[in-house]
Amino acid sequence: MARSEARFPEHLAGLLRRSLLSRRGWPEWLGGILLGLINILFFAWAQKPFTIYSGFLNWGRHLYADLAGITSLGAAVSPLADKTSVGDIGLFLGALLAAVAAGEFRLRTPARLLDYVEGAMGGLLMALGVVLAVGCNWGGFFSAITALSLHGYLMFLGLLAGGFLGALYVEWRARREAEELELEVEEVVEVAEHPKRGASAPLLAAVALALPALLAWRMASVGGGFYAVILFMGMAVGVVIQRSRFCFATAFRDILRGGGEFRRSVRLQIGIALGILVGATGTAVLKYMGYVDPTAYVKPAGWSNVLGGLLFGLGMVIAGGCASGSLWRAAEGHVKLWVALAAAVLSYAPLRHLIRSAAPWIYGEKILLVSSLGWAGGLAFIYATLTLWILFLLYLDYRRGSRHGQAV
Amino acid sequence: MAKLYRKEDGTLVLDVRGYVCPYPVIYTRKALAKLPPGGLLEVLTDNPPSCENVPRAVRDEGHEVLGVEDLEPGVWRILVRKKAG
Repeated sequence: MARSEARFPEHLAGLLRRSLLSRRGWPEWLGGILLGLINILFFAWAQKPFTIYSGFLNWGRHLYADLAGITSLGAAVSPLADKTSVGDIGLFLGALLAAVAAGEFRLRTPARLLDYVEGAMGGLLMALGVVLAVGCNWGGFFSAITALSLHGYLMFLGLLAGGFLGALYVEWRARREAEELELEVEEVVEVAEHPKRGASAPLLAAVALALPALLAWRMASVGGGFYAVILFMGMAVGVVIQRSRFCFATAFRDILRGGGEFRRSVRLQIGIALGILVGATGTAVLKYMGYVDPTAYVKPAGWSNVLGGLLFGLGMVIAGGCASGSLWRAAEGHVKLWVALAAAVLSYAPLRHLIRSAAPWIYGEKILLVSSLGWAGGLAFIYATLTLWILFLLYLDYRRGSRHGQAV
Repeated sequence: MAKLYRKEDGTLVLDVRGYVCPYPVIYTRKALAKLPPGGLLEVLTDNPPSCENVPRAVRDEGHEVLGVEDLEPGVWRILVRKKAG
């Protein structure tokens, strides 16, 4: 008996490694549905959907005010008392925890200098895109349609265009570098035969567990637990995104251009659409029943959202991660995404201040889908458009499959 | 930067550590193009999604994935056999 008891932890670890922590990751449709569900809970708890960039606004304002004495960008509450900022910290910590648990954390320095430039340029483009689209891939798109606001649809169109342009850039870089991919006849690559054991794994695990626990304890002791719950929901988003490799950049990069990961982009787009379907249904219930204000998170909709989506879409492909993707990949240890995050945080607050004060006329009107179409009509509109989109994706996949079939 | 080696037994080794999506998939295709039919390719990557993307992409094109193994924490080796015809 004692023997089987001693082996239970190993049995459990093996079970986890084959299921939740498997290298294959979770399916994209499951990731999308889980994100939709978390978004409903988040909306009910925080009175706003899960978004990301206003947390960056908070951090940017703090950096400029506390380090450089620049206060003209606006005042900011503590990063631990700002719903979006706490959600962002949660996302980062959740992704870190998932990556460490799955043995996927590693400090990864970019292959080339160009990657640092790409990180910075991508972060800057994304920040500018967010100012114009009034949100990132969450606040401007996923959570926007979920909140029944028209502006999410407009950014979606821009993201498709931006992803397409990004794919052209990626192809250009790959062509250029492929010329340098020369064959060197060397006997062995020495890394191959001697797997190192991760000596620092227990330490990493301790940090990944202790950080959220400490933060939650501190929040609970100050704010009565409200922000601790937001932290946990953010962590749930981080875990789901890391495990299902829920990458909006891939979803929009390869879908129209049919690039290297076309099949994955189809599965990701279907996951996103399912998440919006689930989230919008739940949010409609919350809004209809009066748990949240019907106009909550309804934002200006106009041409600026399309243009913002285009810039954001291009930026996320160049940087190698969208808003959530940057936080997730940064938590996995990708230095390129640290650069992208730093560039986004440093540029978002000034760009937003500048454009909103100099050209407020670029923004459109706030349009709640259900106010013109009614509750049933508004939801039916969302269901119909997303169903058509999913059918179109399946058709693209089918057409590509049959073409490949003939070619072989 | 990405490196391509040939081992003594003719196996090609593509080292794309440090690269994020989509480059591991793109360079894997280019490396496969340099192999004779039935030849072996080892891809070294430290990008977690690539452990799934690279095998799926090459399978879609008819090549055989012989395995994905842990080399060290956060680094994987994907072994591919190029299709015969």
